Amino acid sequence: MNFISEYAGSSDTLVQFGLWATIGAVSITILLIIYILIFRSYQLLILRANRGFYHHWRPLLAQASFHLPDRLPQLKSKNHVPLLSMWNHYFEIVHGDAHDNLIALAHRIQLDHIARMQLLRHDKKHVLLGILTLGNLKSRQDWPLLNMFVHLDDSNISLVALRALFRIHPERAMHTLLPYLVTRRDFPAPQVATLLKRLPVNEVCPQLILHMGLNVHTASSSLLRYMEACGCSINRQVFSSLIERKPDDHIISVALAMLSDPNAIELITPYVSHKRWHVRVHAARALGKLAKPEHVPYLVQLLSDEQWWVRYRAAQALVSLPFMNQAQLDHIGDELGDRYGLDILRQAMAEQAI
Amino acid sequence: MSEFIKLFEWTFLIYFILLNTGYIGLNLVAVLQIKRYINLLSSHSLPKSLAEMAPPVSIIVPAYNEEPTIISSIHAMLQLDYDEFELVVVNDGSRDDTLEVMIRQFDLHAFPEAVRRRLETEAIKTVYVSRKYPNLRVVDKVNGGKADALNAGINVCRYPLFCVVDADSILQQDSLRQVVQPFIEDPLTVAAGGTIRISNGCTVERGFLSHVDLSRKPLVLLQIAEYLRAFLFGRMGWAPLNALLIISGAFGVFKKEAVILAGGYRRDTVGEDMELVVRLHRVLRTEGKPYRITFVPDPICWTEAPEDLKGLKSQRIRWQRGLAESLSANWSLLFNPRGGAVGWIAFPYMVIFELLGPFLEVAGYLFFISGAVFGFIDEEAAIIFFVAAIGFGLLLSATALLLEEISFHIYPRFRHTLFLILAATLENFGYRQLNSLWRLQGMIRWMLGHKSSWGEIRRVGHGSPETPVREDKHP
Repeated sequence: MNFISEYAGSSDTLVQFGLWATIGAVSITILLIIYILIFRSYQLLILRANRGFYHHWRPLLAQASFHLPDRLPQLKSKNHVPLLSMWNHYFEIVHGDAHDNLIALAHRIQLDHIARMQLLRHDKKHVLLGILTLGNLKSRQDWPLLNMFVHLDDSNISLVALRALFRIHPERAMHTLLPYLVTRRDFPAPQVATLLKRLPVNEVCPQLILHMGLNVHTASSSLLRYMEACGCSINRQVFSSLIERKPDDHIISVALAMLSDPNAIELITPYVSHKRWHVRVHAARALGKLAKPEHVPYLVQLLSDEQWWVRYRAAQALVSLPFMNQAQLDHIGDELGDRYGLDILRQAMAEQAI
Repeated sequence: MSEFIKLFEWTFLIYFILLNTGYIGLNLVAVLQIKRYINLLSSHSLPKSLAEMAPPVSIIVPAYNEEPTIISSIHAMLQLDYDEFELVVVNDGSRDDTLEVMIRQFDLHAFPEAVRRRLETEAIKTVYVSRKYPNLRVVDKVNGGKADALNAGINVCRYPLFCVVDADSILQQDSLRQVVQPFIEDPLTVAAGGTIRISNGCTVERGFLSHVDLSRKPLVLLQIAEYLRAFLFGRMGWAPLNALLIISGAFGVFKKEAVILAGGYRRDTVGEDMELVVRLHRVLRTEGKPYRITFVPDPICWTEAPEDLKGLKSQRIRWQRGLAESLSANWSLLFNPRGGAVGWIAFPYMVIFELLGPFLEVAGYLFFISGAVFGFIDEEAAIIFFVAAIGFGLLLSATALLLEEISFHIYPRFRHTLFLILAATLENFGYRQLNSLWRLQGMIRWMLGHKSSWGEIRRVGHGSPETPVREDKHP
């Protein structure tokens, strides 16, 4: 105090400014430290209070994966969110019958009702938790409610809602998702592909091909990528119709990657000399799947390509051809005048040996 | 004359206040960012399958004389919780038995790999593949420094994203999943860094951190308080502006094509991690390409801090040199018409407060001390200067502590909070000033053009006594 009163009386503006700025800074510091201590104490109190809840419910949920307990402890409203979180955690890590047991337990404690309550809250975290739970509960009656969340602009909520719908009824959810494959550019492609992969290839691919036919001018590119991610294959007819539209190089690449029709081989060979290297990469891969002995020279030609990836895929394609044996591969290597081609062929042969 | 002295007095006082206010401002931005992040995090952590289909990642581990720790580090990295990744360990001409122990342990065999040389590096002698772990490859090359080893790793790696991890970094099983998340959310992301925390005092089991605790060493405690104040939340403040200039070399993920476009790691700098990030900004900004460089604030990578003054001094000198080299190599970003927030805010801020800071800070202290001793300034002004510098430093430290408490509070016990408050207070009495002196030395060495190399620092290590570990990484 003496220090402050001594310097507060100074006629020097610098001293006055420095003093009051320091007093302000130190005062805020003291308040912050007091707040930190109170906050930490409060956190510790909550932790202790929740200890009893976790002590009872954690083993119960673990046990419920195998058989349902006879008696359940009373659930307080303050524990609703931690329980939802913990239930979903267990649900995500178990499989098979354990799911049915956890769903049965959830119904006994009215977890579906608790989840619906979360959808009314403003906090996004709670909303997501509610949507996730209803999906995991396969709650068909909540389909319209969840469908409403799919239409929101927030891609995170929208995708989690779609995921819930896929849990409840994958085929029906597929129809909900289809229009968004073209319109929702904000959806991260890997997550959408994950949803699509919940359906068997023979169910998802025909729908995607059909949908592509309806959107030829808008979004063939994104649809093709989803088809590729789902492991779809296309035949000569679909490939030809795509190429007729004079698509960009990326569409050609994806189409080549999915081509699996042995009758389409003569449609592939022109792309061995395409000006874009990624198209040549996919031409090499397609030849690797479909080539006959007379097409081997195309792959040998690609072994000397200027691009590493083209050489690599061509080498992989050669060594994977069912009619190609070690002696033939050695012969190709001996005949190659290009060191890079020989190096990559040796690498592919060594990889196959491993 | 007295007017000049007055001008100096005001300049130094205002500089110190601005410096700390700048940091506090960044912390306030970080508060908003953390709140948003924690909400997002809880939404991501719930549905596990949202992390499915994450892009495959190549983990590049540069290794130089890592014989004592390399095996446990690789074992830990092979256990990372991630769907598809490959591990590329680059042995940069180690003088010890780093390569031999890996060959024995992982059943490595020479492989005729046709390496794609997209970045210039020293010669690769042999590429090995493991018969035990199909996703492990070891590159043995001629010594060329850490940046050269990383470039060789980039040439060899197969996947579109690569993650740089120091061989002595301690990760968490979900570290990779967390740091890749920004690439899933936003395809424009070209780089994402993880938060580096200090592992001294913590328990490490089978290569992973199993128990968090504070070190009992005062110097380490001071560094923990400093990490919170100067590195973690300061940097987090830059991320929302897409103006983050540092991603630690200890743990970061990059889009390979973007790094190759920028020319890979520079081999003539000690701060190759920071330099690459600044260059990515410069190249992508000047070419007008949209991009995002971001930061994952979770404590996902832990590293050992020096426990003695000698090691700490050496580390800080190198960091300052790295900073100077990184900024000076990319001057054209400063006030570049296409520079955006990074060219017009972050870069000038770094130049004024981080690059030139040591000169001004040391000059300020010397000016007021000598002025009071020789009587050319008022004793009152000198005392007020010191009190203000310390007062604002305390405020900054308290703000950082508050952020830690409301966000991650990774130190679980009440006594941890008390120790951190004590350390955050004490670091303003001598530690920060000492740091300024070391950073000044770093600047002088940079101006004199000292050569760089793999640095070594004596550290305690986890489970192995007195292990020499590399130190050339930013936190």
